Amino acid sequence: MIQTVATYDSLEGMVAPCPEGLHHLITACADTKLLLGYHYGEWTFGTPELEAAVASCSLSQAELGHVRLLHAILKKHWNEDPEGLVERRGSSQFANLSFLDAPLADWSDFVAMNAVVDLAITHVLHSLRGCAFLPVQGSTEKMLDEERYHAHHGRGWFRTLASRDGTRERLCAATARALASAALWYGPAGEPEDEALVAGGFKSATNPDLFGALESDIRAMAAATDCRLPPIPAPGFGNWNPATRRPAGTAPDDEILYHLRGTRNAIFKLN
Amino acid sequence: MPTCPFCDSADTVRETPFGTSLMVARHYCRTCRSFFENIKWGDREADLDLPGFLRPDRDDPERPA
Repeated sequence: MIQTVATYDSLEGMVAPCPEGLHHLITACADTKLLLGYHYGEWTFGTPELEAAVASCSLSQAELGHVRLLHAILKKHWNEDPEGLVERRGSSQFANLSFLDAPLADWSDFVAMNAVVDLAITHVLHSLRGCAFLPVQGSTEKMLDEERYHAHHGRGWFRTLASRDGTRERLCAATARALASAALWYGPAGEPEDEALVAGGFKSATNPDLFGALESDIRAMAAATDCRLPPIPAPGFGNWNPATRRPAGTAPDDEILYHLRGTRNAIFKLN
Repeated sequence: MPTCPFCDSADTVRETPFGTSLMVARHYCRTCRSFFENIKWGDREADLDLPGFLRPDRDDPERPA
């Protein structure tokens, strides 16, 4: 539980490294939601059921709405340019969860994204509900309300695929990859920015604790099915950077960023 | 289940968890044989399949007033 010492309407009075830590954390959540929105949107077609296509389209809209909300906070308090965050950053600067770096191979990847990756960010949002930085606190409940339906959808499909002999194995493999990717994204124990955010009342749990809670949720869901998840290997945290949360040398696929960005349609911009 | 908005019948079933947008579910009335959509926000949350930390009925001292 967050023990709020002081609350803040702005960054004024905040002690280092909390402003930088919040900046990094909000950016990482926004980047992951941006890539989630892209992949959900991509799966408006090609789903195993028409209903899943409609749901995927809706999930995409919700994620992009959350990106706008988080970018507005980054703009107001860190003077970030939302368009620049999407259009002009180098790919290696994106701090999204790396499961989203490449195209999703099939529907089992989609379900792992929905059930694991989306929930990983929801755990972070949940830990920010009592955030001492009031603009963040004020935005989390709206997002969590919508994320309940994302979790419901992901868990429903997880149970469906896990119940079938032809899809269970692929689902388990995709889920294990998503969990391993989440473990790396959350980061190592004792990371200074994360420790400061928890001590300052900005977050209610450390990142390793949040990963533990995520893994517990996923394993409990899998245990109720015939999906046998393997142990998740300990991530290699060497040179882990809170600004990017990814291994050096990795980045979202250039093709994905090309389609995600509006660069090629820049001449059609309205202003 | 919600009552039918056309005939007020309580004999309805949920057809799908998502309708034309994320916030609605699609239902079917067995009495007047109509499909209708219902906004899921609020009291329907108790029906959702959720991990413990997202359940709205959980005793939650951190939830802001």
